[in-house]
Amino acid sequence: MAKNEPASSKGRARMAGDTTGGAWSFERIYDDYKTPIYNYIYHLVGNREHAEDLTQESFLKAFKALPKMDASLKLSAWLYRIATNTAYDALRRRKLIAWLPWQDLDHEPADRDSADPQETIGTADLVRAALKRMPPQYRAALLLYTQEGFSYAEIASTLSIAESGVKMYLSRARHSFREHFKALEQGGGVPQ
Amino acid sequence: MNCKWAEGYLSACLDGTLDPAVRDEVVAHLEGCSQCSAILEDYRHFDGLVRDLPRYEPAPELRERLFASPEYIALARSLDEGNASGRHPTNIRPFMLSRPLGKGRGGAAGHDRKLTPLPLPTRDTRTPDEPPAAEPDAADTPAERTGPPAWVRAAVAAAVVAVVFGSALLWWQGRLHAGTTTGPGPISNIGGYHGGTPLPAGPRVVYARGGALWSAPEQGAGATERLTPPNVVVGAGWAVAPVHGSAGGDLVAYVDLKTGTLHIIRADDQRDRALGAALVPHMLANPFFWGTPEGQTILGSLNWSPDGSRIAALTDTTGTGRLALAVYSVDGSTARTASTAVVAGVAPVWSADGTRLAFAVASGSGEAVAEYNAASDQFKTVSPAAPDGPASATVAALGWLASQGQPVLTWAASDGAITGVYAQPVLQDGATQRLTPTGATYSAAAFASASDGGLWLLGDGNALWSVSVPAGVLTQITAVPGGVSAITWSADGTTAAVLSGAGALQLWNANTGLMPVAASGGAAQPGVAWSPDGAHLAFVAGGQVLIAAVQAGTASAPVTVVGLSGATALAWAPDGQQLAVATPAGVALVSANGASFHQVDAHAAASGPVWSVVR
Repeated sequence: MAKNEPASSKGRARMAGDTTGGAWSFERIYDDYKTPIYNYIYHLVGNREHAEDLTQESFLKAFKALPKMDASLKLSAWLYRIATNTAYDALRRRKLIAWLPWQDLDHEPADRDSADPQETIGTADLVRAALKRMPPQYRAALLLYTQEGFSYAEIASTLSIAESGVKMYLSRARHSFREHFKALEQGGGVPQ
Repeated sequence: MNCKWAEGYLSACLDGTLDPAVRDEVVAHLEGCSQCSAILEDYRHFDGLVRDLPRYEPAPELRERLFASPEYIALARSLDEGNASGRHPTNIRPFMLSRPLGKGRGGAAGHDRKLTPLPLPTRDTRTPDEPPAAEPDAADTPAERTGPPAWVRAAVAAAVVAVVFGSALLWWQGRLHAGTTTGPGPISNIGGYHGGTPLPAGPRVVYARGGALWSAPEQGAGATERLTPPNVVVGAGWAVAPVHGSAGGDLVAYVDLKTGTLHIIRADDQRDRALGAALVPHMLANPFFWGTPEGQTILGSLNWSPDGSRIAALTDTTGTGRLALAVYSVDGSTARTASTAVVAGVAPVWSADGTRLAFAVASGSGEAVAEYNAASDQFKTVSPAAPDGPASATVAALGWLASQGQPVLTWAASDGAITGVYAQPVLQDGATQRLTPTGATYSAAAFASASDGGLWLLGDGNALWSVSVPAGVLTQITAVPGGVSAITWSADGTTAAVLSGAGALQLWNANTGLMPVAASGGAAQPGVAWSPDGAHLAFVAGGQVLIAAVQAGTASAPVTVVGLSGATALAWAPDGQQLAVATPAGVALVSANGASFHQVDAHAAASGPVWSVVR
């Protein structure tokens, strides 16, 4: 099971094999998954306001489709798949990919140029900035593996790629993240 | 094995997914290569950094937005109807469907959290994020249905019981509170976003919650409607164009937090449009910008001209924290930005004719008074805040004289306490007139213009004073035990409400003098609210909303509005017939005599209420 799959959903998050007779609830699904899905989307799009909108959009899509899904549905990976596609669509639609890489740290005010970037914005900000500069599909793979604790098989299912492709995605993701993080640490950017 | 070859396997090596033979080769390479070892260690370290990123809870309002959204309401309705019609298979898995909290247009009022079994149909072959086929139209109207679904009927029955029981309870409360009358009407239905369908003409109260603006009709007929489209997030500090006479009040300005741009929307939600470029372009790279002091200042800076043709807002286009004042024409034709460093401690003030805007700018260690002339489209610094010192003085309040001749700007300067009141004709540079004695300090100041000039009311720790403008005659009106904490003029500038530090409320009228407002001890924030015609005064005391009728500067015994407590904001309708009250329990409209109220929303407003007018 994915690391961040809510504990309360054990035995209940999958339709198959659930013999408890317990009922599903849209509200319960939202309460169980809102935080991991929201954080996943936030780190994909890099903006909390957008992430809230896209979280809402993702859950609405899930609620609409859920009653028609097969009993073998694996809810967690399915929700992340919807969230991934929703975030990808938004990134394409709003051209966030175009503006995210260059406007966050490259245009610091002149009087802050000589400052230590880590002192100025902190490690977490550097990590978020480096993530933003990565290609979205690699970003998603790295987030699912490190933050959500997904297995290669779960990542493959979520991103609709072959399991062998996950290995390549993660390799490129780590390479890309390392390049961007180190460049940001030194106060610069990496051309893409 | 060389480094280039090994590097391609480092990630999989870290994950333990390499074939044993390849893994052994990589490990052997790493033992002799510090560079590849360092990369592997970086990967491990960076994985940890990503894993340990702070995780955030989504805003609580998101849950409300989701389950009150038109899409969810439509889904709930379709599932319910499918259930009732037997469209779905019967070999179902139990499914619990939560209803929105009294939000369904055409649904019942109140809190309906009934859970309804939902069928689980057979497998769908579509992609996960593709909406189901034959999705019901979110704009589905009650008339299109053959009859209300079971949950609606049950909720209506519950609402009837609640109203009957509530009426009985309030009748009993009325008996317990002699001298007060009250009675809440039902909560109006909460509608969705019309997306361009004009709302009926008339005054509508506007408030914000859940990142959207909502509005409800003054008379309670019809639903509370979402004013802003779903693709924007409304920031705090939105502003309604002022109502003046038979015009105005029909435009609402707000900042879309998603794009940082200023938006204008008609009060009937028919048209929403962005004005100009982003107020703060760099905020797009900082998801937390709007929570910073600079972000909050900018959100709170929207300021309409009296005629609603222009709006001023603070901007930071350079990302340096240096604020500038931008003035937009509502028709989108012009946008001007002051190059000076605007300060946000005092709200800019438009002249009555809407041709000039006074504001404060940074100047040396203190501030200066500046003006924007819409006719010439120019900005100009008028005077230091305190031309006779101290240099560190700031601007505490601003006002324009209703001069028949040249425009005269008047302001109060502060250096901790108010140290002086000044006036200066803006066309005569250097002719600043001090209106208060040197050395005198005050704790509160409020200006009202009049046909023959204007009048400042000043309060200190002991008394209430008046200073005429431009004559500069200082008069002590009365001693105020506990000192003056706040002064609020009525809209027509004839009467002022004066709140003492001890919580006593008094009215002062230039013709009739001073009059206490009953035994109102404990009057407190959110302060007082005058009806536009000055005929009613609402205030909060002892946690209750009170309304006093005012005639010729004399206030009647206040009526307590029973059932509304914890008011956080008060706003009178343009016609003075209804008082909008925001409380933690929602938004309510109170009749001017305080005899009754009805709730228009059972959710707390994030900001507002403010009145608009659909024309």
